Amino acid sequence: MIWVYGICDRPELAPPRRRGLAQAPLDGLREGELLAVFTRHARSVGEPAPDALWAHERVVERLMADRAVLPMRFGSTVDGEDALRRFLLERRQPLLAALARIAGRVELGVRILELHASGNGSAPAVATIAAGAATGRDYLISRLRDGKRAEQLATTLHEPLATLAADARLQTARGADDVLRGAYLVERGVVPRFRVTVERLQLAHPEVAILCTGPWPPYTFVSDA
Amino acid sequence: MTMTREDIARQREVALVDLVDRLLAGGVVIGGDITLSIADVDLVYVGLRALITSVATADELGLSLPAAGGAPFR
Repeated sequence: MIWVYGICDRPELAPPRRRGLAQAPLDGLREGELLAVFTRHARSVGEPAPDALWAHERVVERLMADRAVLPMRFGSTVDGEDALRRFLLERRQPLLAALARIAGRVELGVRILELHASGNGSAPAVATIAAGAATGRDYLISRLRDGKRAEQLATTLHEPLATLAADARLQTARGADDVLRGAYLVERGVVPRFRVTVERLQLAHPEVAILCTGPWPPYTFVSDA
Repeated sequence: MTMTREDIARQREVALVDLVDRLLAGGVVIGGDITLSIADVDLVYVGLRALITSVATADELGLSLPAAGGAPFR
């Protein structure tokens, strides 16, 4: 079985002498303008535990250091090199287009959480229901009002960040306190300015916590490849 | 800006949640060969929840993780 980490440009550049999952050495398969970087395994690897996730991520980040790379989803495996070559041939055009789009760019993650005066996460809404302090109708109305306000706040915070990005994706909120979950595709050179903007927004909006992570490989911007 | 220990702990955990989001729901997919089922992905979040609770409670971190049964996909 072959575990694939990423599809890269600059195929003449050999894969780094590093190890991937289960300490297997990295190998590369070249097909035209593309290079797939992978490891070989006799049996299934990659239970999605944090260690394995970081091992996959470290390989992709190492590749990112000297080439453009399309990160593979964790768990992308094929039977062998023939299947991998077929994949590269069949998807050549979308893969090349995606590489051109992300070259020189990185992904930054932004998560904005609403801070409650009481200081305890999503507990208030749950507590309200549990205590029966409000009728269901009151609760729904207050949630609706909160939702509108959060939506406006999300727009206010998203726009200055989106201006700095080549592309941006907003993701659906997870918890009740999520104001915004976004991914921004940013030129490497613009990353410092992006971070300064995040800090400026945080200072202007003490009612939320703005958490910025990255630079990540562009996981969120390769879905059409 | 100086970071407190809590800040660092929070950033580390947020990074882990972001990592899971990206690696399990993003990236290029080789058709039909993904070995992870949605049930597996949910298990990752369960594990993550346990991990974070062991560092500090999610409330203290100001983090709201998805419920174990929630759909982690975008």
